Amino acid sequence: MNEDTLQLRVIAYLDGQLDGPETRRFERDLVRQEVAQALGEELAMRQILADLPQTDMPEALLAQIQDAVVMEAAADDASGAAQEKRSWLSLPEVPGLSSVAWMWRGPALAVENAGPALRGASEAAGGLSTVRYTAGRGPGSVSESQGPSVVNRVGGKLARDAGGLVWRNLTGQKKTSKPGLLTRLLRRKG
Amino acid sequence: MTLKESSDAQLARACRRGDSAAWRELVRRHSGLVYRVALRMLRNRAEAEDASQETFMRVVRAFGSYDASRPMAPWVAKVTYNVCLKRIGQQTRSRGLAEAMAGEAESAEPPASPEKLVAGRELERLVDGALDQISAQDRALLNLRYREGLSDAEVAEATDMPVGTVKTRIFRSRARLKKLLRPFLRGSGTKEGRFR
Repeated sequence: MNEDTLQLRVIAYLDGQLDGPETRRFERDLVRQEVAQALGEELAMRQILADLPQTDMPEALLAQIQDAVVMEAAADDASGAAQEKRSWLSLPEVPGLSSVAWMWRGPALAVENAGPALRGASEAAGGLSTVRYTAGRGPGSVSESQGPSVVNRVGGKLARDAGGLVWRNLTGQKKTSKPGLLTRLLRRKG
Repeated sequence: MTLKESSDAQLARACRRGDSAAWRELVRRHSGLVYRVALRMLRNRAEAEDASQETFMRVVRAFGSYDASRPMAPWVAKVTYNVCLKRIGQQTRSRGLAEAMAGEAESAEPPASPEKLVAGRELERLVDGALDQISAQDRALLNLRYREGLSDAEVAEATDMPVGTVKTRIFRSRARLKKLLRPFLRGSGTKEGRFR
């Protein structure tokens, strides 16, 4: 048995990790000098580590930290309460509004990218892919020449959908065939 | 039941209710562990005091993440360990490794007087010297395992290491310490016996 293996057995024995038969075998081996010596050394080593100077935190420092912790905890509680007061924004309507904001990003990017005279059809097709990513729908593939018109068409549809969604979120109305105010405004503007 | 006798879970509940006496008790209960781990890792009293304070501030801020169904000591030890590691990293970056090592040498205790030798301080000095020769992380592992009495699994939790790694590192560090302290270990195995 090499030194490392013996050491591992000694540690396992002291930590109570050997099963019954293994424990008895180890105890029988203790008559051998190297096993007894390894056990003695391990015990002495543990004693040395456990006997390391009892360095408790100085009383003055302990009191100072206790005061600081109490203040910090109180400040934490106060800021938590303040945050709760402000959290009216997390009322059920807000997820609806944030999803509308998210929906708006699509048309906005599409319109920005669709300026054919400014950036060309290539960029518009790129913009469409953003719209598709944002809205999760749209035509399968778009050639560069089709880009601007397709983007305008899809962007307009998204804008109308978004308008309806805003209106329904604000009023709690269900979707009807009659267009909402924002949708009508958007159409008039268009 | 007083706060002193309360379990970790009861103490955590009281802290979460905003009970300032509970926070004081939490600091008192874990101050020794935090200070000793910091001192062992940083080897400098002033640094250990700063690290202890920073640890408890972090404990307050991160208290929401503490799972009250588990013992608190490994969780507090984890915060301490991370604070100390960060500080060691900062020291090493700002001073350079060589300078940091020189700083450690400066902060080491002066040679013991004859009276101290008689009182058994010589062994402490030798153990301290031997511990200086292993890394701060390994010192923390040995301290948590043998001085603070955490189990291998709790040490693993405190240091974010797999249990197997903890066991291996402790085994290697102990083997190294053993080599350095062998003359003292080959006695009767008791402290008294070594000085007879």
